[in-house]
Amino acid sequence: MMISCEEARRLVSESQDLSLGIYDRLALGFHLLICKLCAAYEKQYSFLRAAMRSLLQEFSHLEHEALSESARERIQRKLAGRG
Amino acid sequence: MPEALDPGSWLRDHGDYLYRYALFRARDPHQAEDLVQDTLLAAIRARERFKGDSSVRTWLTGILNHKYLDQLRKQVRERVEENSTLDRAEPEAEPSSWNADPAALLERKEFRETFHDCLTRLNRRMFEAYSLREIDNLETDIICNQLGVTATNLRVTLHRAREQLRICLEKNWFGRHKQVAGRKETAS
Repeated sequence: MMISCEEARRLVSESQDLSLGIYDRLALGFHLLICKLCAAYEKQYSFLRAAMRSLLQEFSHLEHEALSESARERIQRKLAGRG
Repeated sequence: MPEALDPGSWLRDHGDYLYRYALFRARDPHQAEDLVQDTLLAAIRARERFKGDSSVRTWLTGILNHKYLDQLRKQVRERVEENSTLDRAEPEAEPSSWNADPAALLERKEFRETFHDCLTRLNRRMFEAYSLREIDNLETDIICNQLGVTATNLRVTLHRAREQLRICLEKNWFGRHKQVAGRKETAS
């Protein structure tokens, strides 16, 4: 039943992508109960997922980026031809 | 003309937003510009079908996303495999506790930039796999198909991407901020 930290961390990642089988779920749950480090690690992984989803709401991290004037004009011309 | 049917207003009102989205996904300014153009042209062809049950921006972003995934599927077929330039994981440090609320932390410009920098450091394969999973929320079998990789390969790639992000944030944000606090203490 006891799995290594390496194995536990692999399962933490995997659990974000698919539902683990019963054996893996139990083994991971047990490991996280007794291993504080892997529990912290799992929390960091949840943080990453949540951060990724929030980041996407507004793209405020790219607020300094914009279409260049030349690209804007080029697109405008294309659109004018079709609109 | 209502906004939904006026392509001129699309570029004016949503051009920069679409460009940022495209740049975030494709990580290439030229491809991002082309995506915006293709999106707006496709939107013109499809405008009769716009139902108005979402905002114009959401509708346009959906079209752009579709275009991006389409291009990606073609690109990966033609791509010469790049050498994996995986950063060696550092000797495992104790994971620190990340107690902050992600959404709240992301309101800080400094953190947004750090997070974005860390994302930028993922190599292309990792970023694509990771973003199909976390942004598009696709199931793993669909991602495998999209990227032409095996399930095992995807599992490893996703784990590495998360691990690299985690280590990067640990090093450049959480660890650093602990150090700064520590330095203050010794100074006083």
